[in-house]
Amino acid sequence: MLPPLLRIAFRNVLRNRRRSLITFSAVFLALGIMVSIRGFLNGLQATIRESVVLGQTGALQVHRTGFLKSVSASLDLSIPSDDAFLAKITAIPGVKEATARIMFGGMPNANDVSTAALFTAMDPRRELTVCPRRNEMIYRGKALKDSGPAAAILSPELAASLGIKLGQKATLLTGDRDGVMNALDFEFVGEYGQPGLPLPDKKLGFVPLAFAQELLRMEGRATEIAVALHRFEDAEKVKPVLQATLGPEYEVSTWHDVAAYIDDAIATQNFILNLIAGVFLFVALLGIANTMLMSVLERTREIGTMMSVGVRRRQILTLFLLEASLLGLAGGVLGSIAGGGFVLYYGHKGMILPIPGMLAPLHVFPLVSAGYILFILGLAAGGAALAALWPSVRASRMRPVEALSAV
Amino acid sequence: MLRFATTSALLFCLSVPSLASAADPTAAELLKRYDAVMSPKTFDGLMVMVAHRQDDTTRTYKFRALKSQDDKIRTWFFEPAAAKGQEMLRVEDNMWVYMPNLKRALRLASRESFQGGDFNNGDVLRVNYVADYTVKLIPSDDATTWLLDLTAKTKEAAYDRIKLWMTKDKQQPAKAEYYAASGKMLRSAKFDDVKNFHGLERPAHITMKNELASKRYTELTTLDMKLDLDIPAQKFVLDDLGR
Repeated sequence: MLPPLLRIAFRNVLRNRRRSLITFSAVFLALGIMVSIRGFLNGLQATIRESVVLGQTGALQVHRTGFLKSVSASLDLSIPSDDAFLAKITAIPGVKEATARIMFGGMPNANDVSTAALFTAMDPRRELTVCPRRNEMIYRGKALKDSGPAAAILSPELAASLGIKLGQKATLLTGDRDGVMNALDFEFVGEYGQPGLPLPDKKLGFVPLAFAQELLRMEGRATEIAVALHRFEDAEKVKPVLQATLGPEYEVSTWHDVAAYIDDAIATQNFILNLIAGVFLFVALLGIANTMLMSVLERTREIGTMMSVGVRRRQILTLFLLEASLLGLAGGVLGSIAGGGFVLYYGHKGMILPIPGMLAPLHVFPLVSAGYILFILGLAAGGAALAALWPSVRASRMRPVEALSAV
Repeated sequence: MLRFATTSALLFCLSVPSLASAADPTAAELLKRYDAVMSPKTFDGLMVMVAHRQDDTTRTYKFRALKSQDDKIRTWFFEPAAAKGQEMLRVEDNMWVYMPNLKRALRLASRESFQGGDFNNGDVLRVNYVADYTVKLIPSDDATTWLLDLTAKTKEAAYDRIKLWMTKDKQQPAKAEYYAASGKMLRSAKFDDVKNFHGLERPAHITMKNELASKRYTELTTLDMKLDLDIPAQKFVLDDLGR
């Protein structure tokens, strides 16, 4: 019995082509836009995540327990940075490389000017395996791996406040791990700026690990170890294994934990997307409800006729719901194809977005999952049926005699 | 007659504040007294600083501090070994530290920690509260003390606001609380062990507690303090550091 009903539904949809086309277009547009935005955001979020994981955090990080919660980055809460300790970490399956870092506050000095700045010390060689994007952290000048042992990369803000130019020397003064002052000279070799991440408006500096260990009088120690995995998606799986290997003295965190702001930003983006998509879909479905209501009112006599020749009420209901679903599904399928085409095209070619406040434009490769497309197709067809429910129920409840005599 | 009335009125007006000060010191007088006790006109002192850290360990520093007639201060560090040979100099709003490994002096900020203890550089090298703060008396919670409310006049002052308790009997500092601009208490100090140093009575022991870290505090003990010296001005120039 269903196939003939489906056939009738098809014919009914095509009866008033102009009206069907308008309704179809609304659904088509809504779905096309939803798929495109989702694809774009997926690409953008993947780019940001990669910039952070491959450019700053690494997939996992190891600190001395309590370090992340301490008010100021304390040099007391240090961890070993020797090869034996790092080898213990790299021996764990899934781990590609581990590299030691020290975060510390210092007072760079040049031209009888001193200013407070935050420094990160890193092993120039190992760091690049863990965070290959560090290669791109130099906006101008040389990388640490291509420089001498007493070199520093400074943010433009810091270099400007010290009044020094690339190639010039300055002195880094800081309290060592006991608070006793120490100072060493360094050469300003590179200007910091990382594509994909906002231009730092802070006073930041990067120095070789060995330089910081001498300055802070903490040979063989570090404050953080960044760990690269063969697949950074495995972070949650490797974390407990690494934690068990190192014991409670150390705290293992994933990049999610240390860069929680990224997850927050992504959650906010998703919320806004869902809201916008919801509004688009709602408007499109209102169009369907309106179309179906008009259709029912127009076809009152026809419904009466159908009923008087023995068509059941349930079949009338099904017929109208089918018509609405067909409209929703057709608009949805074609809309998804259009949106999917956009995502595929740019996913292959890449989009280049110049973003104010960032050094280099963002390269975004849009991407959308088949699951998301199926989900919103179901949403469009189901929503259309739901929107048509009231007009359809109204049609199915008509009394044949009255319907037949309607003007 | 008119002239007599004016003169006597004038005399009366002038005498009121001086009468009051004979009984109760004014806020400005108390602050001047604090400066005179804690940072005499000139001195040559030997100090020991013990920093108690969060992990219950301590670090001990020994240094000599010298103050010139025109309010310049220079220090020499003897202990620990890592700080040996380091010197500090303050001239007006400028502070430098001389690093023996670089054979050069570097500029310091007054709000930086003094060698990792809970005193900041300004606490040790720049005690001139009359110049740095405006002061008023506020009611004290302790009847044996005066309570002074100090507000920074310049951004070079070590703190934005200080509450300072001075004893009524000997007019010695008893305790102090140091605040950030936000109103958050950063540190608190206790002054005790009043001793006579070559004729000047002053607290020989200050305990500075870091209010931001539960277990951190630093003790500063004055072992000796010679006064009224004639120190050559050339000891207080940048080029003399390290010599």
